[in-house]
Amino acid sequence: MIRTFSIAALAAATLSAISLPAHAHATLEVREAQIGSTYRAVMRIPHGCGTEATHTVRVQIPEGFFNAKPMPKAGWELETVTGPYENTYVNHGTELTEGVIEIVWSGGHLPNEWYDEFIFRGTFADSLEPGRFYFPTIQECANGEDAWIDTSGEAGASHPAPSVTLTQGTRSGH
Amino acid sequence: MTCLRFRLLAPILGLFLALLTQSGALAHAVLLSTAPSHNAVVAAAPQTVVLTFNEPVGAMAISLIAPDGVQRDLIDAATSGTDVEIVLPEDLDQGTHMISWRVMSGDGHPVGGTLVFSIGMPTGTPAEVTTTDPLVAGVIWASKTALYLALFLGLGSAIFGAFITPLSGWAQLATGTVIFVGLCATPVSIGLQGLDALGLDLADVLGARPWQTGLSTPYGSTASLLLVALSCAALSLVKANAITQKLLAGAAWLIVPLALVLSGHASTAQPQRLSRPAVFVHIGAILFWTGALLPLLLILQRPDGAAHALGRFSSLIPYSVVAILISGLILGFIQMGPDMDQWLSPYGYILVLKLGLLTILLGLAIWNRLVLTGPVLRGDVVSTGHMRKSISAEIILMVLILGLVAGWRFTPPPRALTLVESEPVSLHIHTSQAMADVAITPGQAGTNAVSIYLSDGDFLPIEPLEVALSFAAPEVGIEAIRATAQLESDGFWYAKDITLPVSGEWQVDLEIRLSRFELVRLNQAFTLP
Repeated sequence: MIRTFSIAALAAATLSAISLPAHAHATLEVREAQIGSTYRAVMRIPHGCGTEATHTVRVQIPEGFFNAKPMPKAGWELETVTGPYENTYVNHGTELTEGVIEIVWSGGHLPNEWYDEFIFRGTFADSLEPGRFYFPTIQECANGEDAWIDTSGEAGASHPAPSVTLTQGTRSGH
Repeated sequence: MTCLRFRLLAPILGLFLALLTQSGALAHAVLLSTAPSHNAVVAAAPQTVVLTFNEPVGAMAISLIAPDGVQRDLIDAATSGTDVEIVLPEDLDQGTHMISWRVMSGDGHPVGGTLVFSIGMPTGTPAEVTTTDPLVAGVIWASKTALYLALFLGLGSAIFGAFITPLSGWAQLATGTVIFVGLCATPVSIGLQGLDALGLDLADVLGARPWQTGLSTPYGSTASLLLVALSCAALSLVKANAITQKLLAGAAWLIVPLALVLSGHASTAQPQRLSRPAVFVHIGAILFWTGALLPLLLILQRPDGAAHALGRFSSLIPYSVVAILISGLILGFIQMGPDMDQWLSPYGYILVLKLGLLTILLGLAIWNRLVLTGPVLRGDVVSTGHMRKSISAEIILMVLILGLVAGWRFTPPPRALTLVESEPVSLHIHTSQAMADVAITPGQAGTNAVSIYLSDGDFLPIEPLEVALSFAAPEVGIEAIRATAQLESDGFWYAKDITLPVSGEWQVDLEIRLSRFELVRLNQAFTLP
């Protein structure tokens, strides 16, 4: 009996550990990706800033995630900020030296009680190292913001940046 | 069989448990407001503290940290819901209190923080160095001296009369007069206390304000209790039956030390567990000794009856003197503090003078007790004369000592001076991304100001958008105390009024917003002396 409950408790704890942060913080739906692969990012925004509705969502596209393209979203204006890359990336034989470095969905209305997803895609460069890759994200509301930009990786961080764990690909490129 | 079935059930049970813990809303709870508000100074102790969240939460850990650092678990006094209401204990002291809270959000994620509020005034504020008008100071000193004389000569005599031997007619008249002066001086001293607290002139004593203020300070309750004690002592003089007399005088004997524990430099000294009983014993024992002087002097003028009273008194006085010396030593060490340089202060000078006079007084007492008491008890006339002179000298010395003690009112004890001049806590936090020099002033338990100078890893100045900081003492269960810092023209970021309630191990955490998407966290543990 004791053993049974231990297993039950362990199962509960494991499930909680996996699923809880997903609901509490701004997170990405797919938490793992291979270096060199394309990635469809689904950014989940679980609540507003305290009690206020979110009207703008900004996502930073850090160096190493190239050819980023956002998906338009009904009810939201879409805007991208482009800039030069630090490195040159090859996409299907074409050299890319610049691209999207920030995506902004604005003019929307996401009440605190509701949940929504914001989607973009791009490619993780071959040159990246295995480990956490962060997409700092900011929710803006009428009188404040929730900045999910903490990339320290500390367990107690109140506003961790959404992240993907990169693993070494079985093949290079595609 | 059963075992196997349970094993199959286990994962399902686990899933069920996991779902249970995270049903409902899917967000982190956010603290929207508190009553009283953070860092509020309230006049009277609130009955409840209310934490209002954006969603229903469950209280997990709630504790109250009192000004003296004592922590009380209040989880059983807290409700759950959108409003977490915490019923506070009724016996809250003046000073800065903290509610350290941890609640479970609807999503099962714990959220914690600390609410700081002060009753009356914040504690840990450095002792104010105020200048009192010399005239006001003189009158306050006179009223205090009169009050002390009434207590230690008059009220003490009433104790002697009730417990050692009945007072003679003359002794009763003298005692009654001194107590009467005290009954007049005590209310006056309340108004004067208020006058001094408000920094007003002597003429303003006719208004209502100094009296209201005087009554609202801890001295107000001390003076009120002293009035009760003096009244009890006066009533005990009226020749009723012996039991009533003993009850009244005994009550007075208990109330005086109790009243003096309530206010004054000594009883506010840390650790109060030591200083308060020491004050109580010190005062109680002194009352017994000094109260005997006047009656004994008058008794010695009569040839009869002296033997009985003197015999009883001299068998008890050694205990009283030992109690005075031990409690006095304890208080002296607490008050003078560990810093020897600070001993050469006005407070220290008064203490040295007091100790000098006390040594003479003790010498006289020992001479009376060891040399004179025997012959006097045998009826030796010369010795009786010596003892009368010696007791007269003791009374004069005692009046001088009480005058000196009344002067302590105007000098902060060295331990308070140490508090003012203590070194700030300095921290240097260095990472590859950023570097912070943090100073916590005065670097003592209580209210502190924090200044932060920021630069990048190569010592070049940086200009962040925001700097937030939090302090926590996880070892003693104090959740994060959060604040935001403001940039001032000197290039430093400042956060004022940060209350760190207890000494010991703390953790400081800086969140530096370098740009819209860049945040650097710096943290370091430090010891608050």
